[in-house]
Amino acid sequence: MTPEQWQRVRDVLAEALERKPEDRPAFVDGACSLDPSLRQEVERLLASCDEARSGFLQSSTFRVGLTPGAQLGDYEVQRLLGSGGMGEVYRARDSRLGREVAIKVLPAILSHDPDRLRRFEQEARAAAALNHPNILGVYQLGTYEGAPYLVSELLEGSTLRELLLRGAVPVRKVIDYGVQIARGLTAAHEKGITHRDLKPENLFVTKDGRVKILDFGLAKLTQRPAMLDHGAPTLSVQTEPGMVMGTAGYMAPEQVRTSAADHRTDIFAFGAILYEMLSGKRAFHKPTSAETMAAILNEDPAPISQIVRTIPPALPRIVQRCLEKNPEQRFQTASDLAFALEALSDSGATRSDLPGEKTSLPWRWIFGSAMALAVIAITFILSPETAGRWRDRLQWRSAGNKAGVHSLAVLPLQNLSGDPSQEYFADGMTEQLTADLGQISALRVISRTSAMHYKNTNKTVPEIARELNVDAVVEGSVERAGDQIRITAQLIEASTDRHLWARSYDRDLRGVLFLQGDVAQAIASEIKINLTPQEQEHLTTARQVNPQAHELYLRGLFDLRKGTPEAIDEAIKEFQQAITTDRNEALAYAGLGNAYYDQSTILKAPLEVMPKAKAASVRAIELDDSLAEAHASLGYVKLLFDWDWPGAKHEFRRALELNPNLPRAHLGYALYLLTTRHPDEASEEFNRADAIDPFTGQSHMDRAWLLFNASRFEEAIQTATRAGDDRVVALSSAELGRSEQAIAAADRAVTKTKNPLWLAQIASAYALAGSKDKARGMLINIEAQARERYICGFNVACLYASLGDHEQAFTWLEKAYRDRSD
Amino acid sequence: MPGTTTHPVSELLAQWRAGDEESLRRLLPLVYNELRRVAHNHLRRERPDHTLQTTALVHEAYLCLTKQQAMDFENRAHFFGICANLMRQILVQYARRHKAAKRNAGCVMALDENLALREKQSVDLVALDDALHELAKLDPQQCRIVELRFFGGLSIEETSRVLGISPATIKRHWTTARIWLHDEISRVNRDDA
Repeated sequence: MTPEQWQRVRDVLAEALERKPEDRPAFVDGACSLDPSLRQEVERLLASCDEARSGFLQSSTFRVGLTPGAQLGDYEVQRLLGSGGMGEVYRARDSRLGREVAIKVLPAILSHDPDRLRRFEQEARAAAALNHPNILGVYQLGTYEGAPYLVSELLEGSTLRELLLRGAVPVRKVIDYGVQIARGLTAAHEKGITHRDLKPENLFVTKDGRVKILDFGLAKLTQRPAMLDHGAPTLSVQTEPGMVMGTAGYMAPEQVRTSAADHRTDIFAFGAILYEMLSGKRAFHKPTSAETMAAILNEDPAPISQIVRTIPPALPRIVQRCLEKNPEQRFQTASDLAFALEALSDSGATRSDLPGEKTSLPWRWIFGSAMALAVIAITFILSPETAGRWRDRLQWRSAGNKAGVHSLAVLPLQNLSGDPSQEYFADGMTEQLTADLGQISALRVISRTSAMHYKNTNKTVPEIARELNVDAVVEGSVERAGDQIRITAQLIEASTDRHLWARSYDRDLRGVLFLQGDVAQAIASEIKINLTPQEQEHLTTARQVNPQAHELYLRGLFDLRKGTPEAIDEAIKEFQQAITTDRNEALAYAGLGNAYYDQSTILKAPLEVMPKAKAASVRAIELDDSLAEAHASLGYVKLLFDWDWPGAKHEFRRALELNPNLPRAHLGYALYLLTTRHPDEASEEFNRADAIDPFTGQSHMDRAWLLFNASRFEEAIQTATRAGDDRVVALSSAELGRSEQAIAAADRAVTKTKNPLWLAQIASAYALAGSKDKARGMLINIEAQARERYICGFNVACLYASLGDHEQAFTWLEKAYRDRSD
Repeated sequence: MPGTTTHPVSELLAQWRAGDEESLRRLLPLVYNELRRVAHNHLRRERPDHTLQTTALVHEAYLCLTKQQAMDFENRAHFFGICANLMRQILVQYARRHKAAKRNAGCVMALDENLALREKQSVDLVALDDALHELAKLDPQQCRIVELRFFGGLSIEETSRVLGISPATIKRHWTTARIWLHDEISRVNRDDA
């Protein structure tokens, strides 16, 4: 063919393809009427076009695998039987012994640690040596180019997972399979071998009804070692976007909590499998693996008798006993379990006495063969499923961050410890992760305060994302066992509710700050956000913490965020203890600065607490200049107490540079801008605070109060109404002479607070609106309180002024001046 | 590579896009070496699923070369454009070197997510490379489109951007090129058998 000929063929072909298949012959007829050779070529290509178009070259994912026909010592690879997260299984022929075998090649990365590999080999050899009819027979194992592989018997049949796809298993068969599994487990456990990853995928039912347990020892090779190790964080589970993570549904509580496992861990998994065979439903199955793990720790599955009617009553009891949360309360040995199940089958009937139904599943071969030395070739798998998945991912990736994620919310991380008193820890981690992500200037991150509204919510991710106006949501969980911490985080695309990414990280408490930085960085890189070099540096620089001090800091933070006067006092104590434990705990100083500032004016005289707020914030910044919260606190002190405008500006801008998603810093900067008479810029800052903190209404409240003080009463009423701030509505209405409206608002406001500061303002509204008796009654109460505790003199002065008592007003103003009230 | 190390990759890339062909000459060996290094790591069977995704490789190489600098959208398409051909060279070289005595890699079976067994087609990279050489004689541009899409992992839109051709034309050329390649590879296989 010449280039010119091809060009003609190609053009006719392309045009033909744009038509419906039934219209193509007529079109080709017409287009090629003068050129029979052109027509012949086009027709030939059209005939095979479906095959070529279905998946051919559609994905740029290559599979690195063994080539069929490859000769590996005594074995000739025949074909790939399957592949998955654990490697590939090939069918091969043992030419020496004239038998068919299966070869499973595991990922090389698993064997980088020679100790682990050796342990795996020992265990796999031990399992192979069991030679039990209910355990897959392993003939040989070795490594190929660093990849461990095993050669085993080749079986025909299907996995229990495949059988379960068709629904529940008949009770008789459940007992039969159960007895076989229990016998296999008994044999292994007696040799001290635990499976650790028992699940329907690892149970194979042969064509003649024999159950084989697969992959003994493999779990040990693949399980995360990080719970034991210190040092670098370990990537334990990573999923493709859109996929639910691994096999969380069969983990025992002790595995979820600490990764610890003994033979009773297998018994729990076995219980979950029995449950599923009987009911056709997974015992623990939630939309996310974090929730599934929480369910394993805290919930019991729905009683089987509610799902299946005709069932021997002893059977649910056996299942229940396997699923006890506490290993001590489960069956203590697999042989006890086998015995209990055998007792249920008719007079101890064996497998062969219980004829199975004929299965209509196509036969499947699995596993088995020898010493493999293979030639590697790259082949390209054209599976429409994989291609589709990768295409989705590629489209998403290739969109870069143009159509991608520009805004996100970190939902409160779930406390998986099952202990509500550990809530502070999960909340602290949520705040830290929010702050880490907030550092990224290209990203709008919803503030902790607004995201906290979704604690224990029933809303779906798309609903939440709509309400917060974000592109994606991060959710996850925190588990803690002693000093070991695991964060599991998932990134979910809001519009589709699709998991884009999920990963678990393990660390000990000492490295907790690295861990949060790792999560934030992984998310940033996943969404292809542009990081400035400075942001990159902040996310990668973390320091070790003193576990005890950090723990105290987190408790303090939890109390501080409660915001009640008692809780703030408590928080101050905890921060101080943290500092006593470790004089370099910068975060505790920052928290202390924040706590003292929060007390100022509202609870304590600024003269008393502002210098403390300043000292703590300055110390925090000396220890770690990258703490945005500390800069924000210092900014407030400089603005409201030191009256140092340039200093305040510098601190707020520094805070915003470090964390552009910190509402407190935006509000402080807005206040600075108003103070220095830049109302338009201040308004922009308020809007920025709104965008990241839509729910707390703090910006509206601040804005309303400032509008009121600027005598812009109509606007103040509007803004205050939106924020639900009746106090400002009452005051502004009173100023406008709308007495009825003012009193109604004051009546509402007075029920919401006990703080004399707010009560003084509300009383002023009553006085201005003409309800002077009510105001005087409140004044008595307020002055009584003032003898017990601090109250901002300015507001009492205003109240006296509203009542027309100027002498008292001046007395209180002087007190206010002495206290440096703001 | 004296002289090149002082020029960060992103700068060379920008210079090349601004029309400086010399920077591309200096860029290519850097990119090639890095890609080969990254590809080699992946080919050592280190991924649990034993797969190698070209987009991920190119991205990884880019990050290593630019010291973790984030990739902007324009740079990305052009960088991937450069990599597509290099990737083809690396993978085909690897496949040729490791190819079994038998000429034909044959069918490969794979399990889909439900573990139901289905037969899947597979492409022999060496055969594909031969066929691409033939296609280049008929239409070099179509050959380039296949390189960008298949070896570079570029989308239709990105390919359009790199080549300066409308997405509709890219799509048509891509479809007909695949049909031709598929036909050519089957023909050669039949002749061999």
